[in-house]
Amino acid sequence: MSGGAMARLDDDKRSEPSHPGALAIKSLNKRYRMDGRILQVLQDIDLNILPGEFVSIVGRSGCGKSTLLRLIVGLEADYDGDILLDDQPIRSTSLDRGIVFQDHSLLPWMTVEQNIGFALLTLDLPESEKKRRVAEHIDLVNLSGFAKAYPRELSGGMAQRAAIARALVNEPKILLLDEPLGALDALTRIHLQRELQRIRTQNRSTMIMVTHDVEEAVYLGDRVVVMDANPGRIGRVVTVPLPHPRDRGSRAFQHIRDEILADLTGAHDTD
Amino acid sequence: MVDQVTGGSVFSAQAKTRRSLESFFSWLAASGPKTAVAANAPRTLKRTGLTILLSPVLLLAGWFALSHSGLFPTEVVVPPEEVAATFWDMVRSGDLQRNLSSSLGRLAIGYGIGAGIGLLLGSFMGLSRNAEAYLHPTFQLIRQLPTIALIPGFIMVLGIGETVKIVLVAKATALPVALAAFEGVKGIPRVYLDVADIYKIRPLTRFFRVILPATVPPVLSGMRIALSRSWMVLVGTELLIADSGIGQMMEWGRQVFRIDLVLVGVVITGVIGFTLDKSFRLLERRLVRWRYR
Ligand SMILES: Nc1ncnc2c1ncn2[C@@H]1O[C@H](COP(=O)(O)OP(=O)(O)OP(=O)(O)O)[C@@H](O)[C@H]1O
Ligand SMILES: [Mg+2]
Repeated sequence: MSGGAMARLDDDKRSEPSHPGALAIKSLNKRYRMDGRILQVLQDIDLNILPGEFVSIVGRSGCGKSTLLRLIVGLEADYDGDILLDDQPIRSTSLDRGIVFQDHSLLPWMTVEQNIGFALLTLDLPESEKKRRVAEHIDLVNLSGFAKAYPRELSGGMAQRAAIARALVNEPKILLLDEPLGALDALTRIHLQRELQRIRTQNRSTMIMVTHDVEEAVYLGDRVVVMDANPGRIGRVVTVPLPHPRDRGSRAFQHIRDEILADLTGAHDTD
Repeated sequence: MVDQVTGGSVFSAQAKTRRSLESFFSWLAASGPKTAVAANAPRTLKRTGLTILLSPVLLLAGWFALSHSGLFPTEVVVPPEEVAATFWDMVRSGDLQRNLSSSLGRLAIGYGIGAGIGLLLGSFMGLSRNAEAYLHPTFQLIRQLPTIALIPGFIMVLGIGETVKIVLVAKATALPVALAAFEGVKGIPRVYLDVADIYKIRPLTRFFRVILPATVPPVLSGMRIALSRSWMVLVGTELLIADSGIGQMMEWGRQVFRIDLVLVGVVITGVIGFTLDKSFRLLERRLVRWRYR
């Protein structure tokens, strides 16, 4: 009963004209101090992300992708520039913003079920509704049967799937994904790429995904941000104008993919 | 005549001890993690309860051979069977139980107090930067002092009653426990705290669901090490000042030149220490099951 009412309430919120989830990043700079030396990790990042948009980020290792996500999710308040979510500056974490870390980061003393439920602890929902959501998300990532398993007993891919379920279960306005599917086998990967696409259409939440798989970036992204390294900055933003579901074999798809790949591997390097 | 009787009972007692030891070890092995041991065991050496007994048995055989070699008088290197006979006599007269219970009683009280203080101080230092700044250097300093070196000073202040032994045991316990708690709290992987931040976990929940479980494993190891250490400190203290206890029993044996008594004490001390450590490990396995499953 109350669950249904809850869902209706949510729908009402979602259909408001100023649908939340718009992210504006303005001249963002991030430096780390390491034994006296200053390391410029991110330089002059400017990026506007529309509500409900899916943005993929690619770039070589160490170019600051994870750092950028940590800043957006609010884990680090020490930066220069602005990060605004629906015009509000981000200064700390919020249940509106979820993240899947590069390492699964499950709490080892909790079962899969408890780990996913952890994301709902502070949410004001009836216990039964929390239970239902946890079970639903365990199914979503194909972990039924492992609800009572501890992270130690899971493979890397299974743990990552549990982490994805945890990030999705409280339906954040904006979801940040740091190489979420990197540890998965090809089949599960394709399955979860479809699931992400479905969830995204269904929840209309904004998503930013870091990936090393250019095909995945193009398959899911409305735009693909290509980052350069040392210091980390935005090199190029490629719009993917193809309708969903996308056909990986189509010429248009492959053309975009190859162009980004060439960019990354430096085949186009002119400077 | 007397010798014969004692000899017989010694051997049957040995056999009994061996049997009960064997079952103890197989029980231990069965309650441990079932996975890794079997998979990693070398093929040539089948690890059973008997394998663990191999080195003690060899030691015993060496001791036996040495004592009967005639190189030393048997009053100095007392043969193991005589030690076993003495052990049996002491069990029958109740001397051993009396001494053991007074030692273990002191250990329990001293360890309890020490662990409590250690846990409180350690977590306090770990959670508060101020407490860390004020207390940590002193802690590191005191840690470098062997507890035994404090005995003369403590005797001057506290006399030679029960209090001084309990205080020494408590001190020997509190320091390693405090440092384990401190380091456990400090060493919580940052990602766990990040996860708690992301889901806006409230302070109390954060403490019970994240900080506590993350610190329990290192703290338990610290408490286990402290237990063995404080047992040794207690026996050492009893050697110097006591009217009862395993240490006192050994000291008395030395004074009346009953090396067999001293050796019974040595063996008992070792066995108790070993048993305390093993039992604590089992407790750790129970409490931190997520780590071992
Ligand atoms: N806490 C920190 N302190 C100091 N330097 C850091 C810290 N975190 C990250 N860095 C540095 O910032 C740079 C970017 O790191 P980041 O993890 O964001 O890279 P990345 O693009 O996610 O790489 P990868 O693809 O390998 O995950 C690296 O040079 C790293 O050494
Ligand atoms: Mg990264």
